[in-house]
Amino acid sequence: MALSRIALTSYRADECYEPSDDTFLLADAINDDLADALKSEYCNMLAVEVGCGSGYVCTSLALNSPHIQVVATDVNHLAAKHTAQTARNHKCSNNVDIVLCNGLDAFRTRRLFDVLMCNPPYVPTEDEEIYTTTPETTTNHNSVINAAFAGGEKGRLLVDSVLMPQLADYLWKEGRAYVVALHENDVGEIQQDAKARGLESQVVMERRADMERLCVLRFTTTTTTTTL
Amino acid sequence: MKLLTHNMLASTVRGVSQGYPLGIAPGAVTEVHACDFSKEFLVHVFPKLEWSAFVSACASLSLPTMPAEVTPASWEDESFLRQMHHNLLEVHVQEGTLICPESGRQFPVSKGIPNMLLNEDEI
Repeated sequence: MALSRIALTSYRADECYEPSDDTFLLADAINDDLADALKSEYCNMLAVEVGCGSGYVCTSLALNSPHIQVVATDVNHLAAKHTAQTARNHKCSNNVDIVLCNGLDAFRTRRLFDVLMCNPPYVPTEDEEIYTTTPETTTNHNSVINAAFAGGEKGRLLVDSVLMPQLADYLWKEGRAYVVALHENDVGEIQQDAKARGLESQVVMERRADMERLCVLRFTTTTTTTTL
Repeated sequence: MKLLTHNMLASTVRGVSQGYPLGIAPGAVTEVHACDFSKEFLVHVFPKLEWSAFVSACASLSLPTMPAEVTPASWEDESFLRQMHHNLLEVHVQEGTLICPESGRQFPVSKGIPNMLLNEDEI
């Protein structure tokens, strides 16, 4: 199991989301939950990270095997630049491809990914701070950094409106999605929503960080595994 | 941008129903970065590919031609597998332009990163 080294991770707090407790929690949870698969010499995976920021999480996964291919997306061109640098610093830029886009918007809708990773903006915020993604706003540094934190009323704007409706379409059979949530986001409600969409969910890791109670939710498809 | 990634990208400009596959404009600048060959990875990723889109992307970049059909025999053909590995994973488009087949909207690729962001009036 591998983790990116913070000394080799490229970021600037005013340019992208800085690796933080939630970042490390997500990387740890993925390593832990996929431990058996990652140990295998035939570890072949196609993975995607939505909102790659510094690139810490996607690089951690890519470091496990030369046969893991990760596509990392972000709306922030500076995050894209930092992710590219982080992957280069870890000598795994061949395993990390980067796409500037909003969520999974630029991907054809087809079951593609074995692993999806997302540390969404989850801090409950006022409406005017919410996640905005147009190129005009992403050239404004404050908006970009706010977009990486501000999650709307329950802190679930990206999860509810973008991620949840798309997950089942993009996950390969037996694919797994890992999403960071805050207990204040009403994790039970996210899980109910997932169930209604035919996704099974489970909290795979929890951690208290300062005042926040963070967890990583794992989603798997349930209804379609027999048809594929 | 590898052709593996290109194979997954589509244009979702408002009003477009067939934004796939994205064309690659002539004059794209590519680099080759060798990586470990794994037949298992190719077998694993094949069902996720749109093969015809991969074949035309290879042609756009003047890479060695991929067959139109992959047959069970192809998986025993070492030279085919090596070429597929090379075209799919080792060739990186560094600079260039991707083109929506329906609207003609262009998406620049700069320093290996495709910019698929849409303007507000295109969403």
